[in-house]
Amino acid sequence: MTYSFQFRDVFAAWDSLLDGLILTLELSLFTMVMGLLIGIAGASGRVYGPAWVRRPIAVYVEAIRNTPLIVQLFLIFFGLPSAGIKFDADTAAFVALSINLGAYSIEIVRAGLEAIPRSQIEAGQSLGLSGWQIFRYVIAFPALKMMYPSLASQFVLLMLATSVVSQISAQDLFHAASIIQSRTFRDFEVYAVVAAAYLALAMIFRLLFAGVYWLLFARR
Amino acid sequence: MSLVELNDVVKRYGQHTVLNGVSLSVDKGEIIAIIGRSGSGKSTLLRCVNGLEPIQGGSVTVDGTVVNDPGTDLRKLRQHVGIVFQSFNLFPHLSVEKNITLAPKVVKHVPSGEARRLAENVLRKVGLAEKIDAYPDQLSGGQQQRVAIARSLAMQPDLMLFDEITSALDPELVGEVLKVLEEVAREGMTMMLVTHEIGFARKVASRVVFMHEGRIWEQGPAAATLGSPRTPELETFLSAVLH
Repeated sequence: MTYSFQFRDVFAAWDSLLDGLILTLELSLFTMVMGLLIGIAGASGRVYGPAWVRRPIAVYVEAIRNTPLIVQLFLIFFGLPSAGIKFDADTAAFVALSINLGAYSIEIVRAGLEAIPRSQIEAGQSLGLSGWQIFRYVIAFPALKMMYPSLASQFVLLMLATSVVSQISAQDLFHAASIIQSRTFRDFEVYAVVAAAYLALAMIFRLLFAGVYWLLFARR
Repeated sequence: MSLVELNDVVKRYGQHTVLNGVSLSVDKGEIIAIIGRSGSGKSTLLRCVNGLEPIQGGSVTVDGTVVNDPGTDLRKLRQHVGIVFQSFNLFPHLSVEKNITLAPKVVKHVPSGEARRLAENVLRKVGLAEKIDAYPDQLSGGQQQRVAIARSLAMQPDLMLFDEITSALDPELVGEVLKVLEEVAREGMTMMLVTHEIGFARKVASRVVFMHEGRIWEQGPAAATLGSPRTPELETFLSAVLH
């Protein structure tokens, strides 16, 4: 095997790589916030809501978790315009990723909420706390602590999964790589660089999440 | 009028009848020890008093409030009826102080400084003043249960329910909790306690209620009822727990 690596052309396109990286970061962060909100709201409805709230949420969760992300993405970007709803690529990516992460988050948050023993809720009720007060003061913190590790790793998976948005021409990191590849034909080099970038991003997110965990839960 | 009035209470879980027509009235200042085999319905009876268990028949009245009336504001009722559980049920993420002050603060809107003093007061009563900043997992079972009693006392209830509060404790920790209970009793609190501590019931209770098969099988003054049971069931039960 005599392949000589040649990174010069790849690094020459650093600015488009950087632009892609920024979109990947933006998409990831906005989607994480949205996913968390959907997760908390959806799981609360799923666990504490009446049947007409629980059912549709269950259907949403199962529908999303049992179909490929790329199909969901295409449905939103290529399918919805037929119904008169048009998004640009970045918005469609954000919407699809949020809907996707939301479903997974609901399952994670639900598991956390359901792990709180019934006796804790009874203790709150017996002290005269209202349902909302029990949720806020008794359930929220221990549940969040319990679900945090799963939520954090789901968020990292989401960040990696953002790479599919290049398929609808959103110009993320992977999209930038494909463009550089098609111009330079340095496939090995460009994908190696991009893999390293995703790896670094994932590590940074994991570190960040560990730091937040420490700040919120490990100290007293 | 009595503080607690149970009238022909029926409680079912599906086909299974747990309470089968229980009537009991408790006057202010009385200390009622409820004894009986496990499964006889004694914990369920207690939990009906503060509305934790909905009932299928009869009525439960506390201080004139009909607990089983769907229109009753259970939150208001529970501010006057404390309950301490077998498994303590302290909030693990809150310090001892916050465990005690949570309900006074958010339910009764007691200001922070005053709430802290309240916590200090009730902790002194249970002999744990120095643990105010500790967390539940830093305390022994006996200490946790004493904090749970303090948490309940901080709401200044008119009636306290104790649901087998020493059953989950190591034997050497039972004494300290019973001592606190005696202290609370001495201050004139109306108490209903489900217990397996027959000796304690004899010493502290004004009345003993023996539950069997979902009914009150026998009741009467503590010493007389425990000393000379009138029914063979109580006699069998007593000889089983005392040996």
